Amino acid sequence: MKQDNLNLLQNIKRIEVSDLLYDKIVLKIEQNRINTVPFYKVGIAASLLFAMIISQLFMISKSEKMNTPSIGKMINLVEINNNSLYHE
Amino acid sequence: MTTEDLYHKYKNTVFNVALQYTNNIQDAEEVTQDVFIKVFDNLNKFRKESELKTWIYRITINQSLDCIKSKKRQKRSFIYSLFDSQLESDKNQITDFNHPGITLENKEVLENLMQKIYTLPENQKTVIILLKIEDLSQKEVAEIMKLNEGAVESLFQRAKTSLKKLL
Repeated sequence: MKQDNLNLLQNIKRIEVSDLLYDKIVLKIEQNRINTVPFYKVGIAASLLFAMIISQLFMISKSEKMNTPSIGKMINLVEINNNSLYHE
Repeated sequence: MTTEDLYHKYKNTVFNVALQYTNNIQDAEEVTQDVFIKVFDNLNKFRKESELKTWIYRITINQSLDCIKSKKRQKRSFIYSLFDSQLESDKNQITDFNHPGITLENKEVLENLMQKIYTLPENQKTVIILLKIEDLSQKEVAEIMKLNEGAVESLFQRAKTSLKKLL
């Protein structure tokens, strides 16, 4: 490669940028701002979800407590079954 | 300094550096927009003017290299989906060469040279662009690339050797 070739690079002209590009940048920044969900909204959504999960767990544990005797009754019914039909 | 002042001060530097990397007006504009968005977002971190200039150069270089990488990725996936076994060199070619800074006078030689520079490793490409096209000093280039001047010189020599082989 001739040394002249690299010096030719200095002949590349500088290009002036249009001022319109600044408006495009400002618009893009605005759009990014609109598309970004604020941190406080994420916090609210997360805490609501957490509260729902906690209340669900509470409800499940409570209903299990209520159901414990009925399960006991069912177990008793099974145990009571003495196949008396066959002795008739 | 307001963001608008900053834009007017550095717009041509950013755009022209991006153009030397991408060789395409649309891509250079895209890179310029992304660079200024990053600059405006982090402006409060910089007080010294010299630091700011070096930092803007650095962001522009990184953004331009990212743009080239993503274009190569797109091209590769497109080519592979079509033919599956294209030559590796094909993805290194600039298919949409549109450099308004290259005049008719030396168009053929310069286009060929820019095509070859495009295929160089990132560091060598950056040294050639900053030293030879942007006409920065070796000290400035070293500062931008976070290297010492000796390393910049050695990268430049390596780039010259690589180009000699390619041309």
